[in-house]
This record gives sequence, structure tokens and C-alpha cells, in this order.
Amino acid sequence: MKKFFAAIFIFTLIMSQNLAKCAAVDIDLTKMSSTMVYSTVFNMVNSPTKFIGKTMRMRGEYTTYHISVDDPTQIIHACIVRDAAGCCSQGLEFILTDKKYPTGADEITVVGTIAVQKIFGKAVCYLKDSRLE
Amino acid sequence: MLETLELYLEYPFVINALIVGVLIALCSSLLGVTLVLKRFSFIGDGLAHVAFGALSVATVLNFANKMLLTLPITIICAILILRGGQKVKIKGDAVIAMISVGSLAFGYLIMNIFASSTNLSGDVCSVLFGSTSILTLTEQEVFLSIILSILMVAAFILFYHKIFAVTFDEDFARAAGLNVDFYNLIISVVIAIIIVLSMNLVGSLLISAFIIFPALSAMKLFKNFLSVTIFSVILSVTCAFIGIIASILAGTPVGSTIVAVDALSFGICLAINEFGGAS
Repeated sequence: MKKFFAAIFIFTLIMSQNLAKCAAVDIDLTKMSSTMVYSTVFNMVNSPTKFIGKTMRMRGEYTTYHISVDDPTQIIHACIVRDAAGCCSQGLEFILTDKKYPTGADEITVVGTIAVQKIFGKAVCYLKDSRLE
Repeated sequence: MLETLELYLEYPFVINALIVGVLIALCSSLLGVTLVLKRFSFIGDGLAHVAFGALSVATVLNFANKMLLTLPITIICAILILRGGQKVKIKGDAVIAMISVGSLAFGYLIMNIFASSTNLSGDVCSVLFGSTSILTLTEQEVFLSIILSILMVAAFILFYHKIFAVTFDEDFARAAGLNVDFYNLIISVVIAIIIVLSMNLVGSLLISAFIIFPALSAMKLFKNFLSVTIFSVILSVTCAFIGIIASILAGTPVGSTIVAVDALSFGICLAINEFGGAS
């Protein structure tokens, strides 16, 4: 009987850890269809002010961009999503709190808070305080 | 599934897509019957390619609202094809084919030469097949689409009897004292507006299907102009609504999903006509 309760306790502990990892967010793109994912990110990138402060989880292809020719250390880390036809893609920058970015191109799931920064005078949407799942 | 749909409907761009989609379906089906009866079914395809060329120019010139350039150019070409086409030496389908492929090639060429976007193939694909265009409309585009749709429906209701006369027998209408050229001009302008609006919904390559299927389906079941028009409108609006909902739920391209639903409804109407009996 003790073993049974111990097993239940361990199972509950593991499940609660998993649930904590998949904490509720305002916008969960991992639960949306590809059409909705692409459209949501497109609208977010084009009208970012409506989404500021909301937490979001997204899954997509990890990629990096150099934003300055003179300074190769200035890199943007982005998560790319594609539309249903696969021809259109839209990316969103994310900044990880622990700064441990993936080493190669891979599919990632990132959670963060939507924020806006000015790049070359234009309001650009990104995910701050992000973490990988 | 209902929970997912409920979640999606919380996004304003989904509501905008449904409103604009239903309005475009309504407008296109109103004129679809006239186009099919006047044997202008293929003209939608030609004008859509013209609109693609104009849209490419607007993209290259960085127009904030591309419709402002696309609409007048498409209207001019519609008038040239429908009215001018009767007076020139190159006639009918040859004019449509010439303008159609010419505009398509010109549009793709200038988009390649003066590409302003890093994702050129994506932009072209989106315009040609309308993969997600309807879900990415700006508030300005939504407002303009609503205004144009209201104007179009008003024009159709106002000129219903004249359009009816011109559709069935131009010679008789002319003999009865009707200004046939003027009403053909109105039809041309309205067709151009439908084409430009429909490009957002189904893309320029799929517009013809969007205009023709509901009209043909209605003609399989009904035999008089009013009944065919009303049923065509109901069917088109229903198919557009189902198509948009299905595409966002299943993650399929919006334009082709709507056309697939239209084709399915045509199959059902055909079967009813064959095995049931039309009114």
C-alpha cells in the first residue's frame, strides 16, 4: 500500500512539473491550425500594439539573422512559422532570459511576453522574457 | 472542435474575414448568373490576371492601399474587354487570352525586377491562390470592402430589370429603347470591383470558379432568373462561410477550400437535378 501511494506521489510530482512547464498563456499557437498560426503572427507583426503584454507560446523553425554588416555579434534569434500552402513565412524575434540559444536550426517551442521595440524607427514585435520548452 | 472555433472567433481578423468573405460571396454570385448567361464565364479569369498585374505595380510602387491602383486599372480593362472588344479586329476569347497572359507575365516580371519583399514567391503565391489573404486584411481594406459591397448590391437592385433585359437579349433591349451600352458599362465596372474584392478571398487564379460555380449550381435546380439569382447568392454565401471556417479549423489554404466547397455543392446540385428533379 505504501508503494502504491509513493507511486501516486511521484506521478503527481512529475505531472505537476509538466503542467508548470506548459503554463497557461494568453495566445497558444501550438494549439492552432497552420492557417491560424500564420495569420495570427502576420497580424501581430503588422499591428503589434494590439498584442503588447500578452503571453504567447509558439512552435516553429529556429533561425538567426545578422542585423548589422559591421558588427557580426548583433544577431536576432527568431521563430519562423509558415502558412498552410507552405509558401509564405513569418518570423518573430525572441530573447531568452537564460541566453542559452539552440546551436543548430531546429523546431523549437518558445514561450514569452509580446513586446515592441523600435528598429530603424519602425515598431517591431518580439517576445521578451522568453524560455524554450 | 466548437471550443477551438470559439477560441478562433475571439480574434478580430477572423471576424473581419468572415464579414468580408460573406459580402464578397454575395456580390460575386449576384453578377455570376449574368456572366454565365452572357457567356462571359472566362472573363473573370482574364480580369483577375489584369488585377494581378496592377497589384504587382502597386506593390513595387509601395502603395499603402493597393486597391487604389488595382481597382481603376481593372475597371478600365473590363470596359475595354466588354465594350471595346466588340469594336476591334481582335475579338472575343483572343482579347481575353491576350490581356490575361500579358498582365500575368508583366506582373510577375516587374515583381521580380523591382522586388520590394524578401519573400517574393510567397507574395506571388498568396496573390494567385489567396492562401491566407482574407485573414490578413487591414482595417482600411475591410472598411473599403464593406463600402464597395454595399454599393454593388445597391447597383444590382437598382438596375435589376435593366440587367435582366441586357443579359437575355441585347437586341430586344436596344429595340425597346434601353441604353444597352450604358448598362453593359455598369456591368463591366461591377465585374471589375468583384474581381478586385475576390482576389483577397480566393486569389486571382481561383476567382472564375468562385463566380461561376454558385450560378451553375443554381441553374441546375431553378429555371427562372430571380430564383437562380437568389439561390446562387444563398449557396455562395453558405459555401464561403463553410470554406473559411473549414480552412481555419483544418489548416488548409482559404481560397482553395472555398472553391472545393463550391465544387462539392455543384456536385450535389447536379445529383439532385439528375436523380431528383429541379423546380
